[in-house]
Amino acid sequence: MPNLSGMHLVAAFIALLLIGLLLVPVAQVMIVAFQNPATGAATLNNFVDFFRSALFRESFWNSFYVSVVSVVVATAIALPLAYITTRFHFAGSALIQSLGFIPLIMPPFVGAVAMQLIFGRNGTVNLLLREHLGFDLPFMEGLNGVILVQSIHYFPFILINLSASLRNIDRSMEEAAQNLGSHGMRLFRRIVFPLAMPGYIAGAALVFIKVFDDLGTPLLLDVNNMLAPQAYLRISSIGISDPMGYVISVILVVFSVLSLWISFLFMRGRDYATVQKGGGGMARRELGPAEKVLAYAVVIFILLLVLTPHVGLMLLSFGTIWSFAPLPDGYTLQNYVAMWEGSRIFIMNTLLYAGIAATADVIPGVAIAYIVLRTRIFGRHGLDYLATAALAVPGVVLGIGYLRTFHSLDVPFVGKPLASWWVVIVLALTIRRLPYALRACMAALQQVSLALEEAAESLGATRRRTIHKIVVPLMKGGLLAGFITSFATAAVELSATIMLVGSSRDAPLSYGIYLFMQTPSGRGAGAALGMVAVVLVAIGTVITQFVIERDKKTRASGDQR
Amino acid sequence: MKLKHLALASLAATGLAAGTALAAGTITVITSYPDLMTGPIEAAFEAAHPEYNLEILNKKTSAGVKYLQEIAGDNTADIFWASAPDAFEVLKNGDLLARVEIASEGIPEKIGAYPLNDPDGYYFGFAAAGYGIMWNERYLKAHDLEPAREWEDLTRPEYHGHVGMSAPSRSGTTHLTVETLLQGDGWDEGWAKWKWIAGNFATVTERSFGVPDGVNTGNFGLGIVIDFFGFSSRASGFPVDFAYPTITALVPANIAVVKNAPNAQGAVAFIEYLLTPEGQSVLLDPAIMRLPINPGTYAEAPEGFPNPFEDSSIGATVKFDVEKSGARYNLVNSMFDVMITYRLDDLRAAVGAIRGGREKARRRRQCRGHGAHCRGPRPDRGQPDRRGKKPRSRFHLGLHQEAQEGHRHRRGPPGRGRAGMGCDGGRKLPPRPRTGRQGRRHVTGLPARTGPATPPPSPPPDGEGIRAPGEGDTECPAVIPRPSAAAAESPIACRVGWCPTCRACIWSRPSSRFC
Repeated sequence: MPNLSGMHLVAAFIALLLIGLLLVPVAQVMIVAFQNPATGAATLNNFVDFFRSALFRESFWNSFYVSVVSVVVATAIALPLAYITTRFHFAGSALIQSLGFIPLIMPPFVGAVAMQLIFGRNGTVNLLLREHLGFDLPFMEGLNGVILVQSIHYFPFILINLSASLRNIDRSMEEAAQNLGSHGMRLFRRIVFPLAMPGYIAGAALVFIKVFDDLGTPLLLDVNNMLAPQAYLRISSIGISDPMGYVISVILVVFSVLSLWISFLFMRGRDYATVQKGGGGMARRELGPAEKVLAYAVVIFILLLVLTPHVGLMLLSFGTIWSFAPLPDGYTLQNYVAMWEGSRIFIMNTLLYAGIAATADVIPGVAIAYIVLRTRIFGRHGLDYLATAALAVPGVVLGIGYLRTFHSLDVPFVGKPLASWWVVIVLALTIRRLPYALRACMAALQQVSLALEEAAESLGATRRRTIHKIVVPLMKGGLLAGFITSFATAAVELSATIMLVGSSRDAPLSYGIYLFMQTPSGRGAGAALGMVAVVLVAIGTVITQFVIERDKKTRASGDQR
Repeated sequence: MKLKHLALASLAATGLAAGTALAAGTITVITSYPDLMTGPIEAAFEAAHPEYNLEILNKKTSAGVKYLQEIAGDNTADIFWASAPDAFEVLKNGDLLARVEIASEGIPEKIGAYPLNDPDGYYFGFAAAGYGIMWNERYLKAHDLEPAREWEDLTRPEYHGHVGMSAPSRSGTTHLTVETLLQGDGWDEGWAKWKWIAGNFATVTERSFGVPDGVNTGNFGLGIVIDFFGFSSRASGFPVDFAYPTITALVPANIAVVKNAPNAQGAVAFIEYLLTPEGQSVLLDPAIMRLPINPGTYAEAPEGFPNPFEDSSIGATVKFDVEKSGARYNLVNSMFDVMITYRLDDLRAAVGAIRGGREKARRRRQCRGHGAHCRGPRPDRGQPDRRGKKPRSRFHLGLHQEAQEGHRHRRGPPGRGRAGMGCDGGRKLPPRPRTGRQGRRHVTGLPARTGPATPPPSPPPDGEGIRAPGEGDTECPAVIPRPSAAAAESPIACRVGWCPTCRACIWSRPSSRFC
């Protein structure tokens, strides 16, 4: 079949890209884990050493504990928001969905700074509590702080995927259940939630892996006894030749791939596709007055909680001096002036890099999702695992790998090595954000019924035409979600870019904030730049929501009131 | 670059000075210094030498060293510019620096006891820095503390949980601080002092800037920092101040030309400019505030700015031995991490426990002859219940219990201002934040106390305090939540809270919920 060979070509091309941009650079770094540091001979002794060390065992359990609890807390934040906004007629659903997405776009270290100011040991909340009630709460002490910051930062992964899934649930399923007498919690537990499972699992797996691998947040909160910080600290302090950092990297990769595999096992053998796509999601219903009050209370409480970092950042950006006080001493616009003078270039670079990276993520994302779910090409799951494994590669390791691999690779017409050309930052961002786009594409495609494609093909459409006219349009919501997720998180990526920025003229926004935040007088200006990032991506998110809603309205037969 | 500039041209109407590089060209500088420091220097240099364009690349010191090692085959950098002399030693030994001649005037050979330039001519000092203690005035006032001015002060129990520091393995400047104390006090004494100080740590930050940041925001009260962090924070308006302890070293911050630099001539010009009086005076910019090495520049310094060329007490006591420091660089870093960074919770608990024990002994002596109010629970109130759970601490059982008892003597109602009462000895110990387990209570046989005016009970005999409930005991009706951090007095904080009836600390044992 000629079409099939076309798919083969695409698969081979993507595989080559992934091998060249992910496997080879990472292998260059990770091979060290299996080498005797003295002789260079192959050995497994480094792993034995790892598990003999009490510190590393403790780090491992801490990482695991923090990841699991973060998933639970993130679910507790995301589930009510997703359910209330998709299930009921609720004013401002689109706004809530957009606001709920905003935490993801704040660089974790900026979020941690703002959270310390609000929830820290001597932050606003604790200073007020102590003054008026005589006690304080250890929100940010040790692992608590990591869990809080991570849950607030990453819950949008669950929210966005779960909302997309809930919207795609076929109304007829729900109606069938209601006809058979199911309602209330039972309906939710037995019908709605299981049907939304692909989105939820996709989101929860992402949260788990991100938290497990995340470096910036624990480091900024000065929590060292977790795996990713240990890897980073070993590499950065003891030296590039120390094998233990690489051993931890290998363990991070293996563990992440394992947890993804478990989530695949969990999903296997279940068919989540819904035949009818015209229904526009679940039937929405009106809330009773009491229910309305409750729903608003829940939503407002959650939004207040998740927007705390932004409130803190805003106060910081407008404040003069903020030291051991519930609020800044005074307010000024000076920070924005200082920011604007020195950072336009960062903003432009960010738009450019993240835009290219997100576009370059969605296209292979769709291709891989289609290859995995719709073809029988040999090694298709390998492709998926490979792309997803990028999640498990600490940014610093990828950065070092790129420096090593591409240093001697001169780019024609540019006249310098790829490693110091700005495109290398885009490549790193693309690879690091590909898994996000891929998960979103997979979830979107999983919900497109095969029957629709078969119908198209039996009517004589070629495969390419089927993809073009049937599959991709039906996936549009998921694709946009994937694009925005990739774009927004790429815009605030720091760990890989910090290794790869070859000149401050090529630096993206997050690097600019990092630079500002390294000086006492630059905190306000850094916060102002952070606000610019928040506003930029917020605008992008609102537009996306608008597009999704309009798209839905044109396709849907309208709400049944 | 072309591609991106095309793409950017439409967006960035007023791009940076990328296109303005003139004939003499671009000087690429790898530096660990922040933008706000390099910015004014860059502006001053480009004003004085319009033919050059400075390209600043900000990397952490260790990342910068690694970057230079990675790109050595095809070097694109001209200058390496950072604080830690050790990093320059590493680069010099790795044959990554160029040996150049720098012409300058009026720069002395030494600052304090330290030679300014590399004797072999590979790198040069351009400013000096000392290490000391910085504090947040509002924070100390709220906690009723005096600023610590000597390392010795930081070991005192009242600073428990109030001190922040970075780890030497992550920050070149912190490494110098650790090394300075080790060289000043000797290896054994120095480490002992570090461990006592570390017992008072609130946190070990990942970046060296995390320390001034934490002090500025009031996250902790005192920080061990390099001097310019203190000066520039103060200059930015934060309510903070800084002091040099007696044992400190003035160490030059350095600059060097990278080997095979594409623009070696420009690099030399930049270094020479830095050493001119104009270049030196830029160091006094409020955002920079580093000690110039040209003695004449101090005439322009603001009021109260220290002058090491006149005030010979700064940095005079320690003769910093850079070879010794370089030789044991990794050892000191690893030891600090293994003993302090990764074991901070244990270390804090241990230091708190030892102090609790000492305090108890001291108080017992003091309470002798004080009368009934100072006495503890009656000895007939039962034996301690040691059948309870295993202590949660990883520490030795004895230490653990001693800690509990040491704590219990200072039990009392929550609230501020308990310092200076009765047998309390006026100790005011800092918060011990931890997540308490609810619902477990602690037994004592004490009568209810009516208010802060009632003198606290004296310490019970060893082993008293935790016991099985006896007849006549009433269950504590409620629990007052843990008091404010400022009022929690013991290094081993009361985990849950105080019983409002008997004012006993509700500890964590199941047997302890009766009054």
